[in-house]
Amino acid sequence: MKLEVTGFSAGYKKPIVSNVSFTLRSKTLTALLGPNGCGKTTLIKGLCHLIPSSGSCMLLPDNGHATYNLMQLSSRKLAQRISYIPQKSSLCASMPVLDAVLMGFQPFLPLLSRTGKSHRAAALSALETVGMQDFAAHDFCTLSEGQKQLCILARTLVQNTDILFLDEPDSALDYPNRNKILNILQNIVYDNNKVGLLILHDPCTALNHCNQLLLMKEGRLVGSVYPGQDSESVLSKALSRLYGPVQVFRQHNQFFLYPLQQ
Amino acid sequence: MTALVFTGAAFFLSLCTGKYPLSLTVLFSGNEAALRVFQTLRLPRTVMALCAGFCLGCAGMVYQIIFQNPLASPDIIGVSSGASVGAASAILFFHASPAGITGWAFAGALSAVFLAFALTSLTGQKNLATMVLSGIAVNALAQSVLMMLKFTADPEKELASIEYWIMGSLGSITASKIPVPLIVSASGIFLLFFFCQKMLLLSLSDDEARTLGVPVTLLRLFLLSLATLVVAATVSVTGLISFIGLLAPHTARLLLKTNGRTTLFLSGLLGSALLLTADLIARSTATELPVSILTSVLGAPFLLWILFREGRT
Repeated sequence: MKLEVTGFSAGYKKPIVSNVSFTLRSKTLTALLGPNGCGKTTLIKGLCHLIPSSGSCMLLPDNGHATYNLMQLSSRKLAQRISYIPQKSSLCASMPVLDAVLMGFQPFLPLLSRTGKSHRAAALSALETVGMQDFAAHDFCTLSEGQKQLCILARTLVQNTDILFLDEPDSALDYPNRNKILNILQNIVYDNNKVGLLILHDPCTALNHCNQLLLMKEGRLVGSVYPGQDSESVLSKALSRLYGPVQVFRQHNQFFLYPLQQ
Repeated sequence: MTALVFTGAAFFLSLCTGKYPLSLTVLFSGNEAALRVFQTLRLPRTVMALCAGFCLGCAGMVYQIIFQNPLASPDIIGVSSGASVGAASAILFFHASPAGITGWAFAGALSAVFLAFALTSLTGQKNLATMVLSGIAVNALAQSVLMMLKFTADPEKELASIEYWIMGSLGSITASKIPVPLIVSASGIFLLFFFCQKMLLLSLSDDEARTLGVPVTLLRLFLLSLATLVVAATVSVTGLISFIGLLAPHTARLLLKTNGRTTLFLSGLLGSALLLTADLIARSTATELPVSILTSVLGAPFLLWILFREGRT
């Protein structure tokens, strides 16, 4: 399955993202890197129909089914295909964690239905995947930011869409949880043939967990690299376009990055 | 703990309903006819207090969830001020019968809220903040119209009627006044309970809810209209009853720390309990007091007690 974005622009009055084109593949975790304010969140929000945008976003399914343009779908149909994890959940009313996770079923529930036992069982198993099953009855609003992030990830698992967009999923998490969430995401994407696009701030994390890096600056895509395939010099050159002179090297099967002295 | 509050509220209700035979001990010595007359007055009044309190409690919670503000109440988008303007106009210009005042108050309440909705969609930005601002604008407008009406009213008769209506009273409730508002409110309440899970989706931000496929603007409008219908049907008959729409849901949410259907129900029960108690005291004084005075006098210390207790645990 491929997601082809062509000529995509998004923004309120003036386009913040201009004419961006890229391809996302299934079983691939793609990182979107770039300095603050370059339009990463705008791009993702535009792809989710939250911001006025133009351009096409074609979904090409594997098994010879027809391709279609995601930009033409209604909000509900889009929610059945793309799930979006914001940087911080906005849930403001007290409710048990399980209920918050159950919200992930909404795009598929008919208007007059409520969630039932099977939904609750699926929600609980999603909580187990992220390690939050002991908190199922706790009030969502009393959790820490990192724990809330894990619960929202559980909600996304329950929503079970083919495409996942995540806005800085690791920023609120402590060091071990950061690794944990990225490993969980890798597993989800590989095992279930999904497409994942994450906005990340740390290029090291991106290099170590993602198969493809999209580099963005001032609303445009300035590069696209593949840590598994490209050489260290190619990676260094590409990342230097974003971060100034940096050197990427690989040791103990891990990528490291350090800034070069001027 | 929950069960305790539940049974406490329910017990209280039956106590209040049961109390009316006690006040009738005075009349037991009197004739059977008088007893019957009082039963036709006292029973409808108690039933109305039960239902009105329940409706205001439930509707209050709907407003608090939708506006994502634990201090929201039905007044936030103009139900109360609209109803006041409707009632005042009826009293002043049409010298209406009580049924007429009810009708005009209902129309006034609905008009005010739909005006707020219209203003919100005119701005193009149909988010919560805009809706609150529209509500503030409509409230201000209605209050100034009300002030003008009061100014031109005859101080001896009409002004008093208007003020008394605004302070709310269950004194003039007869059996004939109950069916229509009850049917309207009951349908509204039933639908609100039915859509309770969907309503909780509105406690997410607009963006996050949309990414879950929720038709945010439509759902908000629908649920607010239902809640408004319920409140309008209630206050058009009883006059404005302050504080219940704010206190009952706030307390229920504070006690249960969750927001599902149980909390909605408890919110209704607390509303009923408060109104029944307030009405009981209101009619026990020499000249019958308007009920809003008592809902505030009883409600505020109760809220403080709950906050104090929660603060200590």
